[in-house]
Amino acid sequence: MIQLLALIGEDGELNTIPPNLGAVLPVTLTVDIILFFSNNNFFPPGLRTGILLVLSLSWILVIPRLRYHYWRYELRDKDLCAIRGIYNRVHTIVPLRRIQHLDVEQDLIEENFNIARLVVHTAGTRSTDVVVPGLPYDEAVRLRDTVREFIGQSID
Amino acid sequence: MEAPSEQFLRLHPLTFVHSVFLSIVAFAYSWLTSLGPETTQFSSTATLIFAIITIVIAGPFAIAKFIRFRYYATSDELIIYYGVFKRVRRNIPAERIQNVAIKRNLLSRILGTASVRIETAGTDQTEGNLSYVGAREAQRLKDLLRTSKNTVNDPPPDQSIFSMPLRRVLVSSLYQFSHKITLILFTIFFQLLSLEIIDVRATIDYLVERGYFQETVSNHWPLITSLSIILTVMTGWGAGFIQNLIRFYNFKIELTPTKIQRRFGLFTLQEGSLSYKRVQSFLIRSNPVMRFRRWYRLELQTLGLQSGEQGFQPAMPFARWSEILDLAPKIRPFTLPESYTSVSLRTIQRYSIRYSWVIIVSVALFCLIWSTNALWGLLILPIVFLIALLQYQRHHWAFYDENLFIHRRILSQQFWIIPVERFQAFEITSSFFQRRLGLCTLIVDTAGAGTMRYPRIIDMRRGDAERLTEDLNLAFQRLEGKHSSSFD
Repeated sequence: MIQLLALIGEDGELNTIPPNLGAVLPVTLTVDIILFFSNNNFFPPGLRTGILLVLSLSWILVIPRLRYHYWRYELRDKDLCAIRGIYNRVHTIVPLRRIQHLDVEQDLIEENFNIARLVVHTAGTRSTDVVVPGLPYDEAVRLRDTVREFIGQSID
Repeated sequence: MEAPSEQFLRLHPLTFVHSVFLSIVAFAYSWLTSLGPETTQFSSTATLIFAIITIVIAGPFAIAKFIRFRYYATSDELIIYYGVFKRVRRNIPAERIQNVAIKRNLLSRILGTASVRIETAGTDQTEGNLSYVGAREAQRLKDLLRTSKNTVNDPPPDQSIFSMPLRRVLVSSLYQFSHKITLILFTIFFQLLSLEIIDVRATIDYLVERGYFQETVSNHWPLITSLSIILTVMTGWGAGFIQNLIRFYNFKIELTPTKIQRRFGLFTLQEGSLSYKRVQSFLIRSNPVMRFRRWYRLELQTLGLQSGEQGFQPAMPFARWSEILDLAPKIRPFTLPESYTSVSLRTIQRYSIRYSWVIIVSVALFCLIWSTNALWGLLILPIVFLIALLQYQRHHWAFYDENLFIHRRILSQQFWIIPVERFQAFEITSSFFQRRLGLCTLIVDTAGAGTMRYPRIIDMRRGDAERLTEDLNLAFQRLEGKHSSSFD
């Protein structure tokens, strides 16, 4: 535990999220941007649009990579750890006993890349849903089953 | 879905009086706000349409809702049928019922009705609300559901553990200030001004004529400004006084081995019991004036966001420190630690820079749009350092005897006591600047933390945060090992 915080931003003992996430995030972001630009006369087809496009393009290229770079999770004996965030680094620890239920979620794009999100629900009000995105589907299911097994044991 | 049988009961017929009263208030409000010097054909038509909608649609809808609403209570469960378009049958098993709260406002006390709320540990979707039933029926329901076989029957307490006699309620009201009501009063005032019902100029002229004022005084703007400020403060104070008096009149709290029973209110009588299991943490608050006279307020953070004010329930609205330390450990035992750990000294640096930045930017903006006089605003900068220093001094924490204690804030001070078994998750966040200074913020999530007020330790040294999280997690695992689940 003590080393955990020191590990923020470094590669090492914590699992990194598979790089597929890096492929999915640009796609979702691009869809957003196309929607945003599809129906407007506000920006003349000139400088501002160009600047915005360059900015968004670099955003697309940089932000998902950074986000991916800092995303870490680890399933330990009695808790689940997740570290995320570029500017604000958030490190969440959820004791497994506190987990109310688990979902493996997949949207259309994620399904296309065969990756999934593990969503962990607790009764807490701030970090109600702890999300581990960009897992290969099998890995997400395996993780869910491991946690479920633990919860089952602790109740018996 | 099968129709409810004959044993099912309806709500009290006087429920209609409540809904009629509510729609009259709503109508009067919309009518008043639509008035004004610039009243147009459109706004008066809108008001008319609103009135027609109220009568033609809302009326029959209220009747249909009344007809559709049926309930049946046994000692095992409460069954409710309701819904006009979407029909719902809800079974609430008695062992899931955490609390049966009876609320009676002024109108229902005149009519002899009461609203009964059946609270469960779940969300709004799993709770039951019977508004309104007869007062005697409300008591019957409460007794019936409380004496059901699955809930523990506590012996009734002999005497109230803590009560506020009229004198103390009056004293406590002196310490309250309501900015909400002040705002509403001022809105009404300006509405009346725009309707030309009140004319300030004419009033002043009249007073000058009668010799109460001199013309020169009435044109003296610093005097007028300070008078307005005094008036505003007095209004807020008076409103706070009345609000507090009405709310906490005859406040009584009693403890049974598993429940907290409370009863309070002047016009709206609130009565209910709260299971100890629902209490997530203690929050002791005070404002500077209260602290000066050594008064404090104890609030309980409870399960579920629907109950109380943003998830907080007053347990002792106005009490001495010793009284709080007498009552609170009976709900969940704790002993106060002898010493506390401060947050990092670098917090002063971080907050000074942050606040200075805000001031410098706003001064620059005012210089641009107003005049260079705004540069005087830079004189506030030393105060910024003082505030940051005070913030550091007032912020400290301790983990002692399976409770986490957190002191926070300068003026409206908060003192949190969070039992280990209530932890849901831990969160350590660090912003870009915090990381540069080796600091982080520890947030302890409970099942009752609201979005506005929640326990956190800001700007801890990173090593401290790591160690504390480890300690908290270990203590939590140890305790959870003892009782396999504390949330049955």
